[in-house]
Amino acid sequence: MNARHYTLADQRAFAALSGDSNPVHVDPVAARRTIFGEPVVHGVHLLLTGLEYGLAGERTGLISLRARFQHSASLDGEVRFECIRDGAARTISVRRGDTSIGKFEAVTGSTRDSVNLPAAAVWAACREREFSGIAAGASGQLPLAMDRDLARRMFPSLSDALPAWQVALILATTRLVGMECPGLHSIFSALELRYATTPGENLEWRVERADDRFSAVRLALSCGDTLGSADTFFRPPPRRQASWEEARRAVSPGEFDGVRALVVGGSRGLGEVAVKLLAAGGATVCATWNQGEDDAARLRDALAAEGFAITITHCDATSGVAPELPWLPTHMLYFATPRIPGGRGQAFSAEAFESLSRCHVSGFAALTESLVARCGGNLRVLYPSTGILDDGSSGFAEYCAAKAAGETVAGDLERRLAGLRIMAPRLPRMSTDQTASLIAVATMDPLAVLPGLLREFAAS
Amino acid sequence: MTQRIIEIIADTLGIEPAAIGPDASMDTMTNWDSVAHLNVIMSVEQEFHVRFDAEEIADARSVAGIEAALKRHGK
Repeated sequence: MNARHYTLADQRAFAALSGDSNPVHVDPVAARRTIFGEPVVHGVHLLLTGLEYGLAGERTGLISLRARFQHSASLDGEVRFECIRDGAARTISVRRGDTSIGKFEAVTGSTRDSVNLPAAAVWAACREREFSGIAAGASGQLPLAMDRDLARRMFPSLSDALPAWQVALILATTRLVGMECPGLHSIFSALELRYATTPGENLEWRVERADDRFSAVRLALSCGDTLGSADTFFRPPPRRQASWEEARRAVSPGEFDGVRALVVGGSRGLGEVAVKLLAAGGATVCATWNQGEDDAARLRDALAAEGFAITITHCDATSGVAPELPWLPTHMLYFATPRIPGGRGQAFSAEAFESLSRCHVSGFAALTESLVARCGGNLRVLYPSTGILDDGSSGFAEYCAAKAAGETVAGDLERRLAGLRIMAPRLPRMSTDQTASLIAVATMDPLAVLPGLLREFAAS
Repeated sequence: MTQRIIEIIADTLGIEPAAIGPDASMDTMTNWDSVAHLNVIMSVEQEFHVRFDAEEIADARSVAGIEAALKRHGK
């Protein structure tokens, strides 16, 4: 049994080696807007680590390789590799905790022909494709290339065990899936290669099958006489919220005149929609961001282009420190949230609860108190709670517990602090990055919920 | 049919079939996430030679749900 912890530095080194620098693997800010909510290890990184352990001490070649990437692996835990040798066959099981995240089966033999393998200096940029665009039949080729020194530093045993072109071909498959097709919004699900003895210089690929019911794409692969396939999915792109025009149509000009609103967590998701609605209704708005400065700047610039000025500022809601503002707010809307784990079937996680509570309970309380002190009372606060507390959906125990505690704290704050009024409605599940899924999940359009809510809040 | 469905789910999730009861669902199993679900359904389609529509794929989130969907297709 071998174990590894993957770090962001490991991810970036692997991106340099493979050419797969898809943001979901190397950019924590971009990755938080994917269905994973955080950076995940390249499946092929796990595969090559497994082969590093499974082929240690050998000098051979691959006859065939079959890999299934069953579950994503985030960077915050130990990944364990169990290798079983049975004659020429190697079976490698990869687990994280109790979760099976990969299964790899390799058959070894003597295929040690070499090929001139260039070390790529510059990799192609990540492509953003539409499913419909490639379903009609895309194809192409990627040259095999590998920095052998870097490969040897990252996978010393594997560099001795296999011909370089065989490793380079595996690396090219993650470059294909993560950067080329499907590209930016991809999930690598399975890889199969049947190696020939004659190496090729390019990975040729074409879309063999595309199924829009699953957003699934099978790619047929060839490299010289080596043949194979890659099974992939399109994952949903970051949720685009209501446009400025849609927001303007949802409210009346001037209906929020006199409101000076601090929208905590206003750079994306429901906070972003609230910012647009409030601004369209005439409110003075400051939107805060924690990690997504670029998202906040895009929002500010988009509204500025329409003649509506908002300010943006940094605020880590878990710090409980209210940002400095050019004016005293009359209203504060608290949309900040970390990633909401949906741990179906898992035991209650005190760690996840504490992380959520730092935002939804203690951070909220401290930030509200500091704002009230600054405003001298007379502050209206919107604390969006969750309808899951009423409908009993499973898998969100930590989130529900934190939100329930937040409701209790909201009531306590209101009783203790003169002039403070807090609305804590239990909102339905709405379409955001946090509710994105590969399969259909019932969600409401934020524009069907938030305009009425904001009217009630502004009038409270 | 139930046992075969359980075997497909077990193979996809990388666990032993014995760990999956007939009442297992996406709500009760840690590993049965949306990606795994699509892989399960694709394997079920291949095994039983059926083609589900998008609504059936989204609704068949349990062993019983998959079995019911297969029965609707005459299996």
